[in-house]
Amino acid sequence: MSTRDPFDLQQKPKTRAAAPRGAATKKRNGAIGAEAARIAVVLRGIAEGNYDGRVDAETIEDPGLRAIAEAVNGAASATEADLRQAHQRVQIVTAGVDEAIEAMIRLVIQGDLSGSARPGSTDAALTPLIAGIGQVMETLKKFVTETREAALQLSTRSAEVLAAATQNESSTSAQASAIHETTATMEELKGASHQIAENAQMVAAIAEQTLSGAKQGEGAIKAFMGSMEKVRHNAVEVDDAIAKLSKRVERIGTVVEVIDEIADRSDLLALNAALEGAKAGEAGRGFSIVAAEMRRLAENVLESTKEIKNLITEIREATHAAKEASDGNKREASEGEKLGGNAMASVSGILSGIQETSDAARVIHLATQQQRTATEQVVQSMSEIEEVTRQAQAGSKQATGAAAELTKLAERLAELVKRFKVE
Amino acid sequence: MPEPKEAQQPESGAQPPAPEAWFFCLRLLGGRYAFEAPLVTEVVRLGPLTRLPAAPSFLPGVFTHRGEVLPVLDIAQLVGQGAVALRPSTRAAIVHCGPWKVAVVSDSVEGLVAIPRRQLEPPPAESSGVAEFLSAVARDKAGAVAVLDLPRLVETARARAVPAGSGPA
Amino acid sequence: MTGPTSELVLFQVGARTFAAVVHDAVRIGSVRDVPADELVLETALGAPSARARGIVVASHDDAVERTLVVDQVLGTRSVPEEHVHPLPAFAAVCLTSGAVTGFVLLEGDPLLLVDLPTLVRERATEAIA
Repeated sequence: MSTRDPFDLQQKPKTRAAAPRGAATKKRNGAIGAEAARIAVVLRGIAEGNYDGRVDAETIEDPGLRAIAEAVNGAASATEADLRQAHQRVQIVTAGVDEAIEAMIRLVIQGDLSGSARPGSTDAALTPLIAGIGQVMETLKKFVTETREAALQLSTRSAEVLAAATQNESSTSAQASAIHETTATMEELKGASHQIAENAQMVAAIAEQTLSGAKQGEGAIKAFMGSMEKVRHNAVEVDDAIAKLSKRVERIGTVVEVIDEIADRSDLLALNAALEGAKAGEAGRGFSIVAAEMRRLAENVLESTKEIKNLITEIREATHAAKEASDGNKREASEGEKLGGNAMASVSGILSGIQETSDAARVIHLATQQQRTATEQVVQSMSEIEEVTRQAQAGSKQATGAAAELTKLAERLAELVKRFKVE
Repeated sequence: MPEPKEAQQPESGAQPPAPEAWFFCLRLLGGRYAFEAPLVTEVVRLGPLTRLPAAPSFLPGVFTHRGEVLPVLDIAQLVGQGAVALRPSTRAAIVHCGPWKVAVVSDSVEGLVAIPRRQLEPPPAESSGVAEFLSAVARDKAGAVAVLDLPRLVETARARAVPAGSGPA
Repeated sequence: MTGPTSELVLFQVGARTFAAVVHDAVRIGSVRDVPADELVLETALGAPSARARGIVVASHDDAVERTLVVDQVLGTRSVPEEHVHPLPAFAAVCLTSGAVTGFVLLEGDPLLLVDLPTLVRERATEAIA
């Protein structure tokens, strides 16, 4: 299996984002606009997958923007670290899957059971898979060893049987029991190979499950990335709306200040008018009444402007909160998209690995099926042998023929077992 | 000067002064204090007080009684022994001391008592706290009573409030 | 309104309302444009919580007009003279300030009647001393 590297993180020297010359931004207010633009450049780079950019925060004057710049730097560094981690993880997973698959290839094609799966250095998600494969190999090894021993025994026994058959009838009962023993052993072996087949079946099943799970994960990640894209799109629109609202609110604030000033002056005028009216005594009575009225009017205006000023403060606070939330959303959406992309790549890698595992497991299954068939055939043959041997008790001619058959079978078994290397 | 309601008036000229003197008695500073009954014109309930700025502590404020504004004198604050608790139920005795008309507040008012002159004894020698304003001490059926020289007390208060050389004349 | 009346201006310093005769108030203005050495902030009446209004006080002797800083000027009131009382004699001699000269009985509550020129002059002499 070839090593795939979904993203290539080379160590490039870190570059500083230079102040953009003439870059057009929506809100440009002198130095603050320029600084904000610098930050935007870095952010855009991050959105395109370039994590090298950093903002030179020390050269930013506006304290609010400086805080943002530092946060951006921190986010970029954190994202870069996360990417590296994910990359490493994928490599580990890939390596583990590679090993497992190679072991199985050796097992199936070459019949080489001498290796073993190393569980230590693989991803936690694949541990059951690796463990299952290990189990399969162990069981197979045991099976092969036992089969070899059995074949050896069989050869020995068949030789004995042949010798006995050509010599004396009285030893057929001994032969019969020897064969019976062998049959029993073969039954055990049959059970063992059944076990192996089941294990292989289980591995195949696990691989299938993991595959479908991973496919579902792939689907979920795709959906997540789609929604992140939407969020980012919406956040830009929200930003526009907030900027417009802020401008309008500020204009209202200016007008209210002017009204306040006028109302206060009117109140003052009315007070002095009342004072003069009082000093004039009776003659100033009417004047005083008019002045009192004017005061009431001025007080009403001041009350209203106070309310409006409170409203403006509330709107400013809400606008600020909305802007912060929108910025936060945009940041998170960008990060989310990045991480989603990484996860996608990882999942794709795992998916292919699992696909191959699944295939390999199926191959084992088939192989063990074949073994089972072979074993069953042997058992079948043994039953036949038993039958024949029983018949041989009746007549030596039949015994000789049966012994000859027995020899042939022993050879066949030896052939079958020869394919597997255990040491 | 208005007479107290139950004062015994001596008959014309040649007779010696009455053997008993009438005093107005009140409870203050945990004891019974009294002053010459003719000084008192009326006993009233203390109304809501208006504080005065730049006022000494023994003058907690003024109140209005039948259209007249009266200053309140707290003897306890004058001698630096706490303050009379001023509640709507607090009684004030309106007194005339020379040119000054003040309302003296106390914890409670006993009313007029008659004490035979021969039973009046000189006050103890200590001159601190309220003792410096005593003119005599006596005993009656109800117990010990200390007689205050109220005009001297009021003058002293006024002198203490405005030390020579500052404030209005 | 029958009978002689007093024309008073009502103002607030801190939580208390005071009264003064209108002729002692030359003008009511804002505090902003007044030089600091002409402002009178802390007096026998206390100190204002906010520098909202200034009452320019007539000075009968010096040339300098001082501005008393108050929290609010409530307006003018015409009060029958029988509702204006001087301070009782004992109170008058016990106060360390000559600024309070009497009472105005206005809707039940007695308001202190303040002599504004004396009030600001006391403050001024204190400041110099």
